[in-house]
Amino acid sequence: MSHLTDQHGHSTYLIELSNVNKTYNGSTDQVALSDITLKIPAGQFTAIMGASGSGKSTLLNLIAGLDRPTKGEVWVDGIRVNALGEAALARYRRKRLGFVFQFFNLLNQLSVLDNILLPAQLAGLQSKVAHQRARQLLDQLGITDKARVYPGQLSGGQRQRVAIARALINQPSVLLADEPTGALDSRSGDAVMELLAQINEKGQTIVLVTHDARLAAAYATRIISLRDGRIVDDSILQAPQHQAPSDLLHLHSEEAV
Amino acid sequence: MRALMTKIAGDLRRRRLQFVIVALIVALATGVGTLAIELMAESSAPYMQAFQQYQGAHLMVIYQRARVTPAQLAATQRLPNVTASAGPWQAAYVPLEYGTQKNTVLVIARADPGGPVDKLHIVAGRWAGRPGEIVLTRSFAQSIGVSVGSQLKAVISPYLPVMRVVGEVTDIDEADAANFNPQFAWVQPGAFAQLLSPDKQSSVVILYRFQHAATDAELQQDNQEIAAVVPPSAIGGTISYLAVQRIINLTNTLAMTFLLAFSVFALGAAALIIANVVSGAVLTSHRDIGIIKALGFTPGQVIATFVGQMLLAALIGCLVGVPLGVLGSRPLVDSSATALGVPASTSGNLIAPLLATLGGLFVVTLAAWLPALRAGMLRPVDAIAQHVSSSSRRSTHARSFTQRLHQIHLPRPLTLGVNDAFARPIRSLLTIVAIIIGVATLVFASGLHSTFQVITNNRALFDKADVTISRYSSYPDSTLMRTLNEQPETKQVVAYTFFELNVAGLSNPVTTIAMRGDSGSLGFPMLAGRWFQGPGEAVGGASFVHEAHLAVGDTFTVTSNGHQITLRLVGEYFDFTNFGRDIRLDWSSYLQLDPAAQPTSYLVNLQPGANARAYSQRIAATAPDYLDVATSASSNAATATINALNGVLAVLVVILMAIAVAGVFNTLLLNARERMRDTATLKAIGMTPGQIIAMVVASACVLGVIGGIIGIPTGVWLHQSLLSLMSSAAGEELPSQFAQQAFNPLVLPLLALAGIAVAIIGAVLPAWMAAHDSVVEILRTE
Ligand SMILES: Nc1ncnc2c1ncn2[C@@H]1O[C@H](COP(=O)(O)OP(=O)(O)O)[C@@H](O)[C@H]1O
Ligand SMILES: [Mg+2]
Repeated sequence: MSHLTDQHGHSTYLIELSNVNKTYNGSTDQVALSDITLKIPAGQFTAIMGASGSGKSTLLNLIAGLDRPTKGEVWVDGIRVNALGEAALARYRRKRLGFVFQFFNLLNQLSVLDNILLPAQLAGLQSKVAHQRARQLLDQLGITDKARVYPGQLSGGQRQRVAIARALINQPSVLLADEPTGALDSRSGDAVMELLAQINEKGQTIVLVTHDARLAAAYATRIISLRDGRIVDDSILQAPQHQAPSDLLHLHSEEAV
Repeated sequence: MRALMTKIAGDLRRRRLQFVIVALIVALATGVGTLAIELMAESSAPYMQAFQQYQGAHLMVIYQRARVTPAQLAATQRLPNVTASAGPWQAAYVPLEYGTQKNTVLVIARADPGGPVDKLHIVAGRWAGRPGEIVLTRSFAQSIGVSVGSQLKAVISPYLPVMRVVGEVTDIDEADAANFNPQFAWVQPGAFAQLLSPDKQSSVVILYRFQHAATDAELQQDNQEIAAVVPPSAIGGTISYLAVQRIINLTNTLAMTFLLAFSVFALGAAALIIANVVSGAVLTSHRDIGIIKALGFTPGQVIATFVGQMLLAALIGCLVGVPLGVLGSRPLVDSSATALGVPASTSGNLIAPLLATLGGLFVVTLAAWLPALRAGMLRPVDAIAQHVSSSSRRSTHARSFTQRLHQIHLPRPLTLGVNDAFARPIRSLLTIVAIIIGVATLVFASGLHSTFQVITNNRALFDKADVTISRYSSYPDSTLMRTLNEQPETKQVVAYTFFELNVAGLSNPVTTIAMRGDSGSLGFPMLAGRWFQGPGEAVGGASFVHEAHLAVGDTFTVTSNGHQITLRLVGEYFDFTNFGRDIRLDWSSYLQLDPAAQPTSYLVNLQPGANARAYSQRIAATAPDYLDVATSASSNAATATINALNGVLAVLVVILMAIAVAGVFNTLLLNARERMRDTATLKAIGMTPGQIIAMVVASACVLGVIGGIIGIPTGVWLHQSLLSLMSSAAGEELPSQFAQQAFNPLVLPLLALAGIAVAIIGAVLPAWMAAHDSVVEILRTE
């Protein structure tokens, strides 16, 4: 399969998965993803949808380099992720990726500000620059007054904002989020999605997993549907904000290539 | 009950690693415990048992035959407190020559080995019959390498009768040849005359058993009653069974004291780790506890599941450790039995193994029960609800500490690790204590090692020099001195002899050593005052100084040979001789008491670079039958004992350090398990495996550094207290230089590194596991 490349030989897509398979070998081989080919250009806000167990998290983990494909290639920002060693993967995640979890996964012993600074410190970013960015993110996410507070004292929605700020501090190429609203009530969920949409508008590529069709339709610019580890639907939304799911332009995965 | 077993079995499968740790540390701790108890039982019981069995003498009195009448001797045997006595037997000190070696024994004329006191146990051959036949102690026979049938020459001028060894015995009234000299030997009374040189005065020996002789004080009383019946200068020497027992027990007492102390420490450290294991298990299985309680487990059953797991592990540990402890104690026990001349008990006394096992299980139960109590008290609702980690309740101290660390620009993974070290303060504290115990043992052992070194290097204490010479009385002192002074290598000669001195106010004569030459340069350790410098001055061993109620500067009156002089005590010094009940004085003082005296032993130090062996051979060749010449290279019983003790110490260090490592390992494993999610998150946001390892190792190092820093003064303190314990066991004060020279102030801080080493070794595996756990797996199971 040939890759679409620009004149420098780089893929024009930010994320590119080709013929990716993922099988978990337990007692019976569990196929989590089969033959996924997917290209995501920079700037998109992609929502991955599907029932529980359809392979959404697996797909995200492969992009994040948290897991390795059984077969196939994963390219992100010109990096062949599936070929990296453990330490290189860590550096890749730290520099190019931001990850937002369903259960926030903040470190309770660190203050909000320290949680946000953590990836910058791991990456060895100049402290002054890191603090400046952190202030900016706190501001942007509306949690400036919580900088010195510890995560235990925050609401779920506030925690998720801190998690998003932490994911963005190293100015990643891609922001990955696995069910970021899954542990939130619908109002906080909406607020978090609103924030992500705003961030996307400034050019941030986002790949988000959700099983909430309403949220996906309301905020994403592209929706990929998975069933049993296969892409069954891939739709680009023209004007995502106030479209009903029925008005979506349907594009099958085969046609998207 | 069935449900309980099922639950225990299930939990064990989940906590295999911890199960192994607990079994291991219990094995180590009970092993040391068994060793200690075994030694204690064996070293105190057999002597007293054998003493009863062989009707040992409480007191042996050696009389000067010319100064006492048979009627007076008989009167001592009729004293009301005397329950049995044996003798009087004629006796004389006789040098025996075998090959190139010469050793003096006290030959006693005794008709048969039985009788009411001091039954001798014949282990080879038979009792002496005709003239020319002699019976030796097995210990002496072995030490000079002879057996039944061997021929020895008795060095008696002007002729050298040949003595044939016809029997070997064990004698309850003596310690082994390495520690008790001279040894006794026996001939038929009719054969005694041939062993008497014309100039030599013979002695008479009587053995006594008393109604009351349990303590030194009672024995002293008995002794005074005897002394009152005979003329003042009649008693030439006495040997108390307590002194013999003390010699036999001293080695074991020392070994036992620290073995016992450290088995308690080992068990204590094991208890700390077990408490950690159980409280960790309780913490991580709150939900399980809630569920099984909801299913109908009573609080008691819940506690039992936790305690049961630990007991099972402990039992396995005991099964391994206790037999190893028994095996390990064998060589030490056997050697003390040989010394006693009693058969080593092979019956397999079950007391020590049983006691160690029960002790181990008891400590484990206690250590497990306390934290398990928390699980028993837990309300099911809370237990089920409290599923998310409660680590948000973190002290602000730890937070600000971390902040400060980060401000001094430690890399983030390290500050996170340091923070983790304090995440569970009690767990960290218990772990630190285990490290302290390990490091303190190391410090203690290294201190004791150097103390032993200081003692063994002090040649004066062992009557050693480059070359030592014993001269038999028929060879003139002046001839030997001329020979020595003619040798260009001779640097210094200190000559001395032993005699008994009657001190005004003391009922028993005091062993006295008169020294000729620069004896001050030999370097006896001083406890107070200074070494004597001329006539009229003397130094005393601690035990003598205390008994005579003297202080440095006091004068005291002594008599010997019918002469009386006044001596000034100018110093108190440390000496093994007679457990410090001795006096040393200048030769000039001795000449006032005995103008014809001649020294019998010579300490010769040579010029640097001189060949001691060639020198000693040359000197010996000038009078092969009358001189015993030895170099300092020849072995020394004290060194052998100290080597054995050093070996025991090394084992203790290894065991307690291993327990500390197990403690760190366990703590990190628990921490890692509780913080699995945090670690996975850190990896997801870009922490490399190397950084994770650094983080975990840093958290261990914090514990190691604290444990190391506290462990050093603890070890030094243990060393000082053991030394004072040792001195009280030996009935003698130890010179402060022994304690002061034990630790090199430059090396001591380096021992703190041992704490860090323990931490790093304990951290390697948990750190590696944390770095290589799958992020996806962990984050998925939430
Ligand atoms: N570590 C694993 N071991 C075995 N099977 C797994 C593992 N992770 C995921 N799976 C299986 O792979 C499939 C996809 O899982 P996942 O990507 O988590 O689904 P989703 O996020 O869409 O709910 C499921 O059937 C799941 O059971
Ligand atoms: Mg999922």
